[in-house]
Amino acid sequence: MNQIITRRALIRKAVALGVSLPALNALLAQPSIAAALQAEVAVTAAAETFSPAGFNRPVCPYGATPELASFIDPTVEIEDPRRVELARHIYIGPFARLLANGAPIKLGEETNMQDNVLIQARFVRPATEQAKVTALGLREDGGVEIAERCILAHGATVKGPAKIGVGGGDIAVDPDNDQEVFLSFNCEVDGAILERNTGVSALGRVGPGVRLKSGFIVLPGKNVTTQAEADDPKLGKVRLLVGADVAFNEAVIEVNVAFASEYTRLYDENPVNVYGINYDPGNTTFNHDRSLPILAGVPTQDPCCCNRIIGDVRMADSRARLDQVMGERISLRADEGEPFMVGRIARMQDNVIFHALEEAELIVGNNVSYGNKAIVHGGGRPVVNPGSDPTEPTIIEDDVTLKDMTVVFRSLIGRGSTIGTKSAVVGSVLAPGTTIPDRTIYVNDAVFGTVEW
Amino acid sequence: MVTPRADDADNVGASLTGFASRLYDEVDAAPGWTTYWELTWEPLPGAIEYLVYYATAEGMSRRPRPTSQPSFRLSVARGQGTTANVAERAAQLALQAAQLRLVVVARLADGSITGPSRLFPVGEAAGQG
Repeated sequence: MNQIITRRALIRKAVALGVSLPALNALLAQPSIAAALQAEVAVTAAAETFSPAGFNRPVCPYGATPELASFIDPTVEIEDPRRVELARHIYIGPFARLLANGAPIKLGEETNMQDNVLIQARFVRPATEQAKVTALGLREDGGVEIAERCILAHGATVKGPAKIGVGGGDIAVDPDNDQEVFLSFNCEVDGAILERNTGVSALGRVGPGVRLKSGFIVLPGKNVTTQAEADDPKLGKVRLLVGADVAFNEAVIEVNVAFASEYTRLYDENPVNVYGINYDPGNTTFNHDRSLPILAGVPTQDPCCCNRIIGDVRMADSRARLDQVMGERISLRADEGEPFMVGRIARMQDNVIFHALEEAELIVGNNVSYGNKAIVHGGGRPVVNPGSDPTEPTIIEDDVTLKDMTVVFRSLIGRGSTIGTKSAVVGSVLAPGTTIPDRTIYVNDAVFGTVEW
Repeated sequence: MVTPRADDADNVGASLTGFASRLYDEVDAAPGWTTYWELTWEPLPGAIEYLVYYATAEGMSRRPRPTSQPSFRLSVARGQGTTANVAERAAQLALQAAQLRLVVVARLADGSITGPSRLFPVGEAAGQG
């Protein structure tokens, strides 16, 4: 056996499937089986892309070492996996969806799809919009091609046909000449081409028939629907990428490449570790140790839970009550920042995401309501309070309402506040009782703009 | 708090001091103006290099960016024209500070590294710290 598929990995898989070791050994002793396995190993070792079909999940390709693997969370939904091609070092987070019915999906090396990202390879749109897509040179059945080193952050959506990180070229502010594309929280790319070294900020959108050229990033909440809007920063929808964007992208990619390895390692040690309520992988710079969530004071490992609660998440609610107040496809992922302190939940709709970086990063009070696709992302609040410790946690106080598709990032949300539908609060402190209207981008204690779609 | 991984060299506990950050503009023919953010710190006797780590909301970078000088610079805002648009620049700085921070350590001649600095938001001019 070579380093790609090991006998040990095969035994782990067999045990997970309920095959007894004596039966497996008897099978492997047969010359024809051994020869077939060796041939499969040789093919796998030589390949550069893999279909996440059959045994190629959650570790892709099957049996790959952590250093070479891609990792697909077991909750990921893949339609027609034979049409999906994955390169190496890809991390696909909980409840992401790759819908390849009718068209292919390709993901390049070191790309990541974070929690609840949706890629729909063939999206049906009105004829007038489809005509724009065709005029851009994208065939209706061309599917979605995502190049190497692309970040699809929490809740991003790509509607095919589309190309991400394809075409264009290098940019002056990226001195090492590799490429990155960043699609931020709850943004959308719909029938468009994003060239190498581009991006879309939180709740931004690139519409049908638009080509975003290398060096540009769509501003938060902006809806780019014409080529002129994509090309001219003076129209107020895009800006030029800077060195800090490149640094940010490189760091996010490094972290997610590490996740591909470390979740593979966690799975290798025991396959149940990557299901339901369970351990975080640890072994990262900020988070050495593996931890279990604590529900109503009880450390809990429950691989059968349909949601993902990962690492040191300390919830006031019991396991039984979570079933009453939580929807589906929820990912509370403390695999970097920890702990998350979560008070009693009033109601958590489907597709909610928690994620954070540093220690004591995320504190949520009692009686908080979370809308569909709400994202709570932790981090310090240095901008609004320059004299403070920049590692202050993100805090959501009691009785707060987060409506559908809201984004809360590195902020303090005062008691009784309401964040409107499809709005984002970034780096801000909201006084108790504040209402942020629907479709509002609120950055650094001021309205940055509206969400245009 | 940043802590070294198991495969890092020994951490000697001391930290760098004298941090200050500033913003300044430069104007080029194309695309126009650029705002840079520069972090500086006091040189540490015995340091052979300084290692800058990026921190984002997704996690902490594992790959250090080495620098021989006690300073680190990134462009944080850009625009067209010969003078910076104040509102445009302020908005870009706020967004950068919200998404990217840096941590700095020094590597000494014996391979050990100092304790980590605090996290510095990129794009925020904090003066002496």
